[in-house]
Amino acid sequence: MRPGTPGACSGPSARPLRRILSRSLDAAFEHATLLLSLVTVGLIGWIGFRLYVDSALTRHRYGWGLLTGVVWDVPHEIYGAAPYIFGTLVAATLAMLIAVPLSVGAAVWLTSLAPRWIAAPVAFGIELLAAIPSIIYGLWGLFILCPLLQSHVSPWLAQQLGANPLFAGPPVLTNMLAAGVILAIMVIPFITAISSEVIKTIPAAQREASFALGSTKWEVIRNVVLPQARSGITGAAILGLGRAIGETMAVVMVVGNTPRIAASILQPGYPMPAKLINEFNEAFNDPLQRSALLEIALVLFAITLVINGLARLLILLTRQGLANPQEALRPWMAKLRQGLDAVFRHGAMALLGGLVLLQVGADLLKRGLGGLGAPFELALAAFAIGWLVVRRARSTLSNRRIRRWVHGSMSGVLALCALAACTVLGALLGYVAIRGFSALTPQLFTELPRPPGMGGGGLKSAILGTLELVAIAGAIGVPIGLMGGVFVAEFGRGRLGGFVRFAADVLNGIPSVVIGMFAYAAFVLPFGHFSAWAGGGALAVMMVPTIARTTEEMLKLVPSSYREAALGLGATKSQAIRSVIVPAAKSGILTGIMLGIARIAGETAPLLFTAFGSDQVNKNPAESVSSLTMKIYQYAISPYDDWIQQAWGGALVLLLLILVLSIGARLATRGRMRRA
Amino acid sequence: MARTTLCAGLALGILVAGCGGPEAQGGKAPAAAITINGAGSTFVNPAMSKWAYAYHEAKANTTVNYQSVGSGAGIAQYKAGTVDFGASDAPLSDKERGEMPTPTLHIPVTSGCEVLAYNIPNIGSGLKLSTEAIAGIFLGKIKTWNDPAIARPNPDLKLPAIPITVAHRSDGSGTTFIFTDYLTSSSPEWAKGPGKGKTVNWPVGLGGKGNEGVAGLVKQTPGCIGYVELAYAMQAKLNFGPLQNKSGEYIPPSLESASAAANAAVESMQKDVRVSIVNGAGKDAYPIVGFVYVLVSKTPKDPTKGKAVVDFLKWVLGPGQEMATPLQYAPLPKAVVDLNMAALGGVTTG
Repeated sequence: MRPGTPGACSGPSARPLRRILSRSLDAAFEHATLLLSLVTVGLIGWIGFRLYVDSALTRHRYGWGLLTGVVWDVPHEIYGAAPYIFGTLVAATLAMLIAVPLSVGAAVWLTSLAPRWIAAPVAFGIELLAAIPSIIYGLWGLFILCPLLQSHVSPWLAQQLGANPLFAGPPVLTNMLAAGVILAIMVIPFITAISSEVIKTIPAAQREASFALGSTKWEVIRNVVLPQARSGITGAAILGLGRAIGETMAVVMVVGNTPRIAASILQPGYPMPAKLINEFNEAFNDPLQRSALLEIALVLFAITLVINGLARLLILLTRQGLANPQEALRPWMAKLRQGLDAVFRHGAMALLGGLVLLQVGADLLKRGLGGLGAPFELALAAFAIGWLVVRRARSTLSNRRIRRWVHGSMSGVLALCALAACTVLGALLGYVAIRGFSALTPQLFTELPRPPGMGGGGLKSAILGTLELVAIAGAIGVPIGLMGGVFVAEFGRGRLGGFVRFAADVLNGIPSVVIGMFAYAAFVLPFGHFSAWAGGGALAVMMVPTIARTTEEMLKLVPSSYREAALGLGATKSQAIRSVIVPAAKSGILTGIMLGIARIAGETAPLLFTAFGSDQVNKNPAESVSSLTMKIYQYAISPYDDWIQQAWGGALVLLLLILVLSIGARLATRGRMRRA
Repeated sequence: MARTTLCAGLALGILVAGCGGPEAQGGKAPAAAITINGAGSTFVNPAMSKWAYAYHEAKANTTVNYQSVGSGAGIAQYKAGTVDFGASDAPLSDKERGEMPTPTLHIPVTSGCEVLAYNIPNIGSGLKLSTEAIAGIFLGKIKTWNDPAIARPNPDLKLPAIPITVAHRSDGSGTTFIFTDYLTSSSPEWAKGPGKGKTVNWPVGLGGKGNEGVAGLVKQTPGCIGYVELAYAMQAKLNFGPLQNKSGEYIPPSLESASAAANAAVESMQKDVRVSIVNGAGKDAYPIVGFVYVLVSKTPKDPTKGKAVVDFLKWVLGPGQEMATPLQYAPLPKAVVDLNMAALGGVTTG
């Protein structure tokens, strides 16, 4: 359906020149959107290429040794990244162990059990958790969560399960457990939202059939919902894993930053992103050290690329399968889906089984047979007996009381999952509001930062810096994202469109610290100095996928009759897009822009290597510039009470900005917005 | 036509204009407004940020933007040419100096003490730490606060049986260099093991970013001990005590002890300013002391900025010195100031 062919609008003279012009304009428009949509693909390639080329030195010198070595000793030129890879694995696994059950429980409760009046606000609240910046999680983690864990949770774990090497040693303030918990909180909204989406695509007829057979709601969930949505939920969990692996700021503040390969999660660790954020700034002195860090970044890039790719594919396949059940997947796709599903599920079961065995074994070793009377073993036995009773009861279907009881208690458990997520949101917002509010003075907005010990001062330069960076990022990122989204929605129906969309999702999953390192190499080194331009450029890279994906989603919601009507009236395709389709999706597209801004306004990691920071208001974007996030980081880890106070104040300002943007964005589209 | 695009464009335009407006004015108004960027040592940051603040008040058209990112990062960014000066408490080695793109001057700007700040419930300032105890704690051999090696010189204190948490730096640091230089010179076991450097392979402990981060860890964590520059410990109201020196005396950190160590080094500094002053032999010498060096290029690529840096440093070496004393940084000996002034005269400026 080439546009412009009808030519009905022109008079009898046909004005060939004008028609040629409009046709070539049309083609130019399409090519322009294609080109800008390919920016995402290009960026992924460029980032990967740079990391690969720039890490050549250590790749050749150490080979795989860099990944297996356990010592990182810069002065002696010994580089082994194993402790950092180990740290990432442990923190991410812990996060998954906590987040997956909670998120799946919350998603099931929200979609299948909760009354509508409560489900909507709770789902909204959980989505807000996703909008809160990493640095605020870090601040909250360091000052609220870590002390709480250290004073209450860790000693309890050490006491009850202490025979297990996983819980050995005196608990320290910042440790792997804290990192795991913070990461879990950060990925819960992602897993919950995507699992909910998948569950919602299950055709109602299937549930109804099960109800008609007399199932309780829990039985429907267990026999229909979970099996149908399983691979999609697996995909959501893998996506969460990708997030957890790449998270930087929150982790670096709570994990303890000590390279270590040892069992205990009550001791500190040092995940890969934390290593990069701490050391990259100083590595340019030493080509070997720089190359080693870039190689870690390359590993991180590759892991997140693969994980995100697989997860997106799995979710896509599940949703397709659920939406058109009669349409069989291509054999390789079906096999891939089954394979991924099985690997993940068996992996999870093996992990859980292993942990249980470890605990039992440790208790037995320490206390002999008396270990069977330890708290964990007693709880395990109680659980096993309960499970057996219920299982027996279920085989005798007539026992309605037990079935109802199971339904009731399972509903309770699922509701608790959702409640837990909401409690965390409440605690986070509450603490930031309370501690931030007392720091919210006029000086915070009107005065420049002061040296420590002088007292007073404010965050004027940081607030203005954030605005400046967001403006630069927007000026670069918004047009690219918009046009890219237009291409995928309007021209890219085929394979190319799918590929571009996939690339945007993958780019969205690349850890921000990796993008920061890339931006340093791409935007700082060539110009020889840090600048607001470089910071804005790095943020633009992070903003493009969000805007492109929302634009696309929003354009797709425009009824196709609009397109047909416009084309029928003789508009060319580009005219139809510009004067009919895009205006119809206006509020949705503005939403995308707001979400894009909300996403980058809270970024820290890429700015530390590009915008660098400054305590003055720099009017020249070619100079380094401050941002709220960098200032919060600097102040939060400082020992000065007035700085810490201002960090909370800055966090409140940032949080308000982001919440206004995200809530505004969601209200503007009133539930039309679908999560990518 | 496309009203949305227009709207979005307009909104964006306003945003950009909002930020661009003052920039346009700023570019014109004061003819020689200049920003010089420095980065590095967190050891000197309390003094440096005070200097930057005061210098801007004195000379409104010059802004000194100093980012306290750690000596390692300061050296690296100075080498990459992304900052106009670096600051490090660890002087460059000959090899490092040779690798710099332009000839590089070391300008000592001040000297200061490092303390071992601790957070022990119910124990205030004044805990005496012996040489042996310090090495033992940082080697991970002394694990609890009531260890005899710690208790022996402190008969009056009731030390709790809680575990020791060591805090050290996670970034490349001159403060670490000075501290490990001290440990290497005072403990053969440390010398054989981790050794000295801006980053070393710590046997135990938590990593914090910058002096700020280590002080923050100490403040947050009961049972924690970490090495920080004196000003940090004082400003953050952390506890610290006298350390045993080479001649066996317990000496509290002070401006005087830092000055004494600096004065003792004047002679050798005539030849090369890159000296180590830890573990001095004097009876009153505090053992962990170091100089802070500013690294500047002899042939700056932007001579205007180069001149601004030189002017700033000359001001630091003059009126700046006194401003740092309330923060317990020792003023430089006169001879070292003269040495610096002569060296700065050799910088080619526009």
